[in-house]
Amino acid sequence: MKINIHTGIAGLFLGGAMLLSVAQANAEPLVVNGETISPSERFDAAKAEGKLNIFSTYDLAPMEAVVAAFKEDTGLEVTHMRLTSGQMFERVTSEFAANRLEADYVDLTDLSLVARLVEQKILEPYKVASFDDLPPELRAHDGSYYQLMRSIMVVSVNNALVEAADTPKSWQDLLDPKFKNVIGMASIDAGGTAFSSYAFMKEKLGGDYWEKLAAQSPRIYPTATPVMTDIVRGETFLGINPISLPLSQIENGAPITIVYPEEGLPAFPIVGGMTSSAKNKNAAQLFLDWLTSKRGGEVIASTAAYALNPQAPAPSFGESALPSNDQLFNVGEDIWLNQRQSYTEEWRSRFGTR
Amino acid sequence: MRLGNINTQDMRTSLLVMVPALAFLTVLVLLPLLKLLDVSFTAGGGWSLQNYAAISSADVGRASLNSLVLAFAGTSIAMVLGTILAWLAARTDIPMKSMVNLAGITPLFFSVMVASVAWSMLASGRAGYLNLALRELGLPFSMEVQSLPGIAFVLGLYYAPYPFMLMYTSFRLIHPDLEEAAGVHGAGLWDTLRQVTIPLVLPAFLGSALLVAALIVEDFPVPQILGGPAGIETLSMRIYKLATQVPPSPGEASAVSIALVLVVFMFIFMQRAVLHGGDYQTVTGKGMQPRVLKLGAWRWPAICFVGLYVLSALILPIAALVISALRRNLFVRNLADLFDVSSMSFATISRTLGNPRILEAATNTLLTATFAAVIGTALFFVIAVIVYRTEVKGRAMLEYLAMIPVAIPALVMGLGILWSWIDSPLNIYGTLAILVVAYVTRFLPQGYRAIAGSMSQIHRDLESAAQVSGASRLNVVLYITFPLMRGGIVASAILLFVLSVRELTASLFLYTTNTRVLSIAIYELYETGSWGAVASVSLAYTSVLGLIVLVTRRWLRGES
Repeated sequence: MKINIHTGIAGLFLGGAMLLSVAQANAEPLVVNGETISPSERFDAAKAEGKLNIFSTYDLAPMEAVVAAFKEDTGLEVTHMRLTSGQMFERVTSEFAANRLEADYVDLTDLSLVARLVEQKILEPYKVASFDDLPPELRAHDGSYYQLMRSIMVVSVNNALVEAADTPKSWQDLLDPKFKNVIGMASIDAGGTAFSSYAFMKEKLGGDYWEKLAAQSPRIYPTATPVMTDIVRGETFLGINPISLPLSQIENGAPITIVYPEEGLPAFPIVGGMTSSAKNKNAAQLFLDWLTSKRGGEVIASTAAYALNPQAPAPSFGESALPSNDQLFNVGEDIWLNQRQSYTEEWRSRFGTR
Repeated sequence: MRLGNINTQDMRTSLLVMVPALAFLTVLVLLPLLKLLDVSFTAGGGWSLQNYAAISSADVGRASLNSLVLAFAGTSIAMVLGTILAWLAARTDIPMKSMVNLAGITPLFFSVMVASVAWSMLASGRAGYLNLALRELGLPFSMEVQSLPGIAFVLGLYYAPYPFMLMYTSFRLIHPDLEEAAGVHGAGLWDTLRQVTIPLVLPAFLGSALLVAALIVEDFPVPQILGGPAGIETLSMRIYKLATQVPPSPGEASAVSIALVLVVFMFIFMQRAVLHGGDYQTVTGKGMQPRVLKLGAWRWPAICFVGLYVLSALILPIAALVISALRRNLFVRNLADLFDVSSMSFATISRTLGNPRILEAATNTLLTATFAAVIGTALFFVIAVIVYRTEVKGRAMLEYLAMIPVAIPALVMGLGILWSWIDSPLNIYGTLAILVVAYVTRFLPQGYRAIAGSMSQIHRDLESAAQVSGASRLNVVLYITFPLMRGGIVASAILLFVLSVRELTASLFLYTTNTRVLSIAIYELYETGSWGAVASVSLAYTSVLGLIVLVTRRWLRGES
């Protein structure tokens, strides 16, 4: 009996020691592949919260891949909802006004809308662990928001309908008379993706590029997706798309060639930050730390998007690498904030209000 | 004698009946509408007419014109198709009558969004399958569904079930004595039709035409998918664009919607004025069997007509969906390529249907649609009883309220419901319950019309007789009205269920991560350009709905 009590006490001590060591292990920072992503107190507090609620505009499949990797690295429970930018803005502002915003993290594809979220104090500044290493033009000076991932707009060509010799190599080639009536593109009102490509044309291809492109009588679609499906089935022959669309069509065996025009590639950002009403603030901060880390950057790059962390590799898709970072054209903050309206109005007068 | 003569007891009953009914409809219908009004008069943080000024542009004028043209053309096509089908099924000896019945109803079970995608595959100018066929046959013409006539055609095809259902019931309920009397007095088929049958079914005809016109004006997926690429814009597309563009203009979207609400109200008012004072009740206590017309040699053209409708509304689109669900990609070089088995596999179908997100969405859809059908039908029945079976003061207002949602575009209603429920003490925002609220509100006019339509044809004599014999008002409703109408009630519940399953637009602003429904899942697949996956899910749930029609067709025929 005595012995039993002794062993019992010994067991208690042993258990206590084990508990202690577990607690110490919990106090470790988030480290993946040797990279310290987030300090121990934040990781610990995030684990105590246990979950994270994400509202994202990034495409469903790649964002799910990003979320899955984050869950695996941190063990947090993550819920994720995807909406388009316009819907997201309406939802987030309405929910916030009613004190019902569920999201700890929100992103949008349009910097001018993000600026409104900052103005309404829906986003709260947070400086990530790697803050000083990040390109200053791709983050808010106070950490209110980050251009966490960027994707590019490319020209997709149906190679069963356009011969290899005729395939355009540059944006200027789109103005060739042989492409009259067969180009498809999304309306500038479709969102930040479309806006970035038209802003790129305006800034890089000369003031009259829009006029010349409009003279080609392109088909204007309400959003980018039907542009892609119409190219695949041959309603139009070529068009301008976010790269994720032709990539997934090629994966399905569609006769599509992706052209990276030589003048450069318009990049559009997914701009995200932490909400001021976040119930899981530490988890949101941990998520931002992770997204802006080299590890997060690797995961983002594997979804064919450009990450914010400068040490992240160039994006790839399957076997093929995408163009390097220096070929990208980032729409500057001043254009987003000051030219958005005037560009949109001029575009509508040239291409119509759709 | 009528139920509910006004006396003191009735005054109390009136209050007991009207107050909850009004309160309920006010919360469901008026609250979102008032929210919209409020938003439409708000700009820059204060009261303003700016939104209304912003929408009085040439673009909005053009969009309005397109909407009117489509409403007129689409409604005409739907009315012709639906009425002829209903007449054939209800009043002639056309062979395979139950099939004709199914043909009239089944297209309703097809999501119009999916139907538009399917018709876009079939008859787009350059790459449509039918055009490939025409070209290979060397025929000198082609079709273009991405045009105003094309959109009107597709709208007409898929809105025909509304007039079919309402007209069918109406044709069935015409008392044979009336037509026989005309015959006895020497009237031929045409004269009987013109002087007896048509005047008797006129209320159902006008009612369904109005309903269809209003539904077409607010229809969003068909013009968006078919007209979008061709540069055709309608008012509903404009509203959607204003509400979802970046940055969104909810104020202007609300202003356009309010304008639309006023137009539809005018229609409803006109319809009521036209029908005012008529007596259309033909079902009385005597047993009856509607007269059946022998078609003779006309049966073959009649069958061809039904066959052509089934081909266009169901067979061709489903075939297009099957092909795109099986094909690895959408590109089809020529007709032989279309049927090339080597480029087909079940990979997309099994991947899509095995996706846990889709399965979860399917469960959510079944839950919300069932609740919407049960709660909605009960509510609509109560309103119909108050409007048609009592003389409670202000009951006409209930009917006006019930018809309002038909004039509110679904997308804007979604916004209105979001805005009005998000800060309500009733904590249903973010749950499936808010979707049920949205469905019941959105389909109030359709469900109420279906129930009210069959109630208005049941003569009060039957109920009065029971009341004279000492039955209480509640017992009259329970033991006379309800059993007589059970066909109409079940039909209305099924209608609500199906419409809720198909509902997309209002859900867009109301769903959350955990309350994704099937239509949202399909929309997300469409958004990523996965037509094969869209086709797979659509085929699966069209089959499920098809099964429901088969099982319940006894009720759907509208007989009691």
